[in-house]
Amino acid sequence: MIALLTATVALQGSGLFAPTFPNPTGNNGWEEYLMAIDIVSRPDANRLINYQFYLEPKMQGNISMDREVLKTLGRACDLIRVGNSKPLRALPFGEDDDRGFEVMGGSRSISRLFAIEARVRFADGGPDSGVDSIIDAMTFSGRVGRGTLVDALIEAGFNGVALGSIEKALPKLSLAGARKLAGFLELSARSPSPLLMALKVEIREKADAPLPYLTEISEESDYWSPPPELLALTAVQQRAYAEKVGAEFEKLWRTVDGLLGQEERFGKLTSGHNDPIIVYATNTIIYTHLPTAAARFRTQLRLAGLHCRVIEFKRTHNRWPKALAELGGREVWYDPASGGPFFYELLTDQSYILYSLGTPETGRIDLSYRGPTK
Amino acid sequence: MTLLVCLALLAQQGETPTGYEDYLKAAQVVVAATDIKPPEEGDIAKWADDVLKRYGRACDWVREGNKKGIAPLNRREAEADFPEFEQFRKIGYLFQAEIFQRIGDGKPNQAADSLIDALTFGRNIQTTCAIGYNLGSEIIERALIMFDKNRRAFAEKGLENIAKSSRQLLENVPALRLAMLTEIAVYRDSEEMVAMDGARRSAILLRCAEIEVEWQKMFASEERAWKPSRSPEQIDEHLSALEISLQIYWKRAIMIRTKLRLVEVISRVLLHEMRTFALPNALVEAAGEQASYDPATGSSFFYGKRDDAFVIYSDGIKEMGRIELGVRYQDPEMIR
Repeated sequence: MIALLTATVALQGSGLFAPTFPNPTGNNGWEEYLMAIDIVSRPDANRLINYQFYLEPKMQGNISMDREVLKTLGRACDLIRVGNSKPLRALPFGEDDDRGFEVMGGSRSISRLFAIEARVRFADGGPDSGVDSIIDAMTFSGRVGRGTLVDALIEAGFNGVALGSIEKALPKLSLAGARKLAGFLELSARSPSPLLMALKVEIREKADAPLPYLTEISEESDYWSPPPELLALTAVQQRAYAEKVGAEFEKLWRTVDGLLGQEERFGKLTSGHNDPIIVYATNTIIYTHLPTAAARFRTQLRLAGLHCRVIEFKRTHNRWPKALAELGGREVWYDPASGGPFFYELLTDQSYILYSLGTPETGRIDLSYRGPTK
Repeated sequence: MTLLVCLALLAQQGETPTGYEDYLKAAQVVVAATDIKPPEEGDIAKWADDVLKRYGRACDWVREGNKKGIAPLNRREAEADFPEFEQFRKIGYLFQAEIFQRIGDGKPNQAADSLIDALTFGRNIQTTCAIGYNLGSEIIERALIMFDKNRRAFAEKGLENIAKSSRQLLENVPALRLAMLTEIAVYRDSEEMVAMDGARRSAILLRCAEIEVEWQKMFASEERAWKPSRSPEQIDEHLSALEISLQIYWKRAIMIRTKLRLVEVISRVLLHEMRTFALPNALVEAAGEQASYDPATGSSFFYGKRDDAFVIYSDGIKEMGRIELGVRYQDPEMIR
């Protein structure tokens, strides 16, 4: 899994659609998704979409370049929109298939392409179509991100791109656009956390079959170094440990299941065990921090929705709200991550600040992730 | 009825019909309206929808008038001769509503058009006479507050048009000069002057000519050099009143002229941000030397930024202090 996250994604774009769907049905959103991914996965297209990374430091690109990118690759966005309107049936390959890597890389490019489309649409004076771009992007990442833990993490990453688009777009939103986006984000924030759902599935698999997992992580690899105690286990000892590890995963599963119904003030997920083998097997970096990440992502969605509500207020009252209470009751201003209200303050007549105080683990949470708070 | 009276007045004075006729038609649309003024608090969007539904045609007439432009009007005493001015004030409110509504409706480029229409209307009204200068200034300032409060809502084309139009209005419509020259002309032709004895009348006319030269000279200079002089001695009570007009309006003229420049320079900064995804490090980077220069101070406009926020203002002339577009910052120092 960690390998999947850190691997350099091959973007050679050998063409996914035709070999995957030799007889397309027209009734599976993946068909359009793969066609779009084929468009953006060509090396030249990838370079075009990510042109900002090739610029001199401190240069951030420009709207003319964005328009150029869109002129060349905008069809990919149109295909995604068509795909979004169709049901998704399972792809005929798994996450460890090389094609899975290509889908991931292509999806990342698509999320960036949508960010470009949104920027151009707002600059061109079409704020409502800009909102559509953001929603299309988040719908796409939400759909391709439903599945494994890796998918869910990738979705969160793509949503980070969309949240960046929202942050820039806020002052340009129309009244209808602000309402539409707020509704979409609030709905997303209310649905079960994809990260925790996927984590539950992942832990369940390991709880049900601990031995193969223990055997897998007993081998040194580029991504993990087992503790000497684990390396020294005999096959019989490994089987015995597998039972203990399975029991720990069972406990973790119950914990995660409980988190799903809780407010998001949860911290690190740890077993509390002292045995180095069990600690190693259960407290991988990713597991430990996932609930914290889930709390942050969820809070960012809430923040984005709340920002839209602030803009909605501005578009009806021609001023900023003096306090969040002007927007509505507790359901609007309450922040489950901190257990209190979101922090809101007017800075000038032109601007305000809005953030979550977060959990002790996350610290302050802003709409766009700005790294750990000191 | 009012329309007929106004048109009749124009006909009596033998003036060539201009855009002012369209302005009068616009005035007629709102003549019976008593509820156009925007509320201080509450649902502004609802107010805007409501007044535009009922009186929006007035804005269309003004647009027609703006296309034609207006000739200087040879009349004065607003309350007696300009009954339409009260209606023009209401039309100023309507343009506020239109700018706000169009932004809310997701039509930022059309909102920019409304802003330009309002500025053009205000600038034209400014040229009519001293009292018209005052009213036109009010219309302009109200529209600019709408711009400033929603400045990041505008799109690229609209900002480009706003930047271009604000400069054109400044350069092509010498509002205060036209208004003041009309004041002198009206004064010279007044019944009191005609009835006056020869020697006294000659002295006053001589002084009028001097004032005209002084004013022309003043208007040709940068604003920081503006300072209308007073007559060394009281020649006539009426003449004194004439001079007081300018004493009252010159500061307001500097304010409006500076604000029109600020519109341009702020639009250029917003365009820079929209096109390069970053605020400029210096004003000149976005607006160039000419637009960054503030004739009220003889140096560049103040520009400060922090993160995504920025402020631009003029330090103004000594007698006035800082000039901002419309919105007062609670603590501008935090950005300085």
